[in-house]
Amino acid sequence: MRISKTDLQLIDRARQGDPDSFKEIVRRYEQRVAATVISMLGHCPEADDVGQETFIRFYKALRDFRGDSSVATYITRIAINLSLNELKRRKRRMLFFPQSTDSVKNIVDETEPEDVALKKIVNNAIQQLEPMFRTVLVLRLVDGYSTKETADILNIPEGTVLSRLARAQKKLKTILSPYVGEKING
Amino acid sequence: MDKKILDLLYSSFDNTLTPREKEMLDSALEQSEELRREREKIAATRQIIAENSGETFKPFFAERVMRRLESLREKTDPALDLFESLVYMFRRVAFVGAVAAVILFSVQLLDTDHETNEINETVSEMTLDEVLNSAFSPSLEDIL
Repeated sequence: MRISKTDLQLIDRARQGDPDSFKEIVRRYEQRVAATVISMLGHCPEADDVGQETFIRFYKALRDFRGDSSVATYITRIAINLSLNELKRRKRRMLFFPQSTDSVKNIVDETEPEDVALKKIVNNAIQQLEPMFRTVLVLRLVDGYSTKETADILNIPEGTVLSRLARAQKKLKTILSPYVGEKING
Repeated sequence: MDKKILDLLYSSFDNTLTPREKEMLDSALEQSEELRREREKIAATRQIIAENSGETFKPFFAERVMRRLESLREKTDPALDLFESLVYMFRRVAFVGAVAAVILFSVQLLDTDHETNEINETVSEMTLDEVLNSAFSPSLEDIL
């Protein structure tokens, strides 16, 4: 019978230079990082780069990782910071090369299955939020962190998390209103 | 809709209400059909977001990460390390040198200003006669 190793066991072995152990960590947290990074940046080539860079940074920080926070929280914090850096770079680029943002009609292909289309619509709606509101919403609603954990990851007070979350939800409620209506009416 | 009650409604989804606040919200919900509809909309919005945000990277993500790590490890061979250290040292020395040059130049500039002011003050203290005498009355040594 194969016993799966704990995160700390894998980290110990990765520190000793075992690449397979680190690869296992990447596999375990790949989906979580993807959810965070793609929700923050949208579907774009940079999202994959930021995802890879998240794990590279984690690898470089393996010696400093003491296990005070969980591996998931530690990696998510790196992913969020790198995503915010990418958004800043994108903003600077937009100053010189402005691009129009896609409307809902443009992002959805009518031949796509309904669930795929809805995913795109939700992702596009999240992209319309300011980064500071988007970050809170992604951590709380997409990654499922508690209000306190979200506050700890972002190093902001819990009250700020709640107020940003409320503003983000108000805006999304308006953007997603046709789909919200459907959900309520069944 | 009362803003305070609406804020309480949003906070209630994150379980952060005190018993007093919860009581206030429950009473408002009981009285207002509009507030109850709002609660349904918020819940539905949260559900849509949570259910439709599960994203994945393109296939073979872990392999791509490991390839990048491998190329990073190759880069950190000792010869390259020495070269990078030298470049790093050169940058630091160049930076400190540049700062020292700026400071020296500023000090030099301040000194020059000071000397110019001293000359100006000496000239302004001379009377017109003294100036004319020094300019138009050559000394015996000058003539000889």
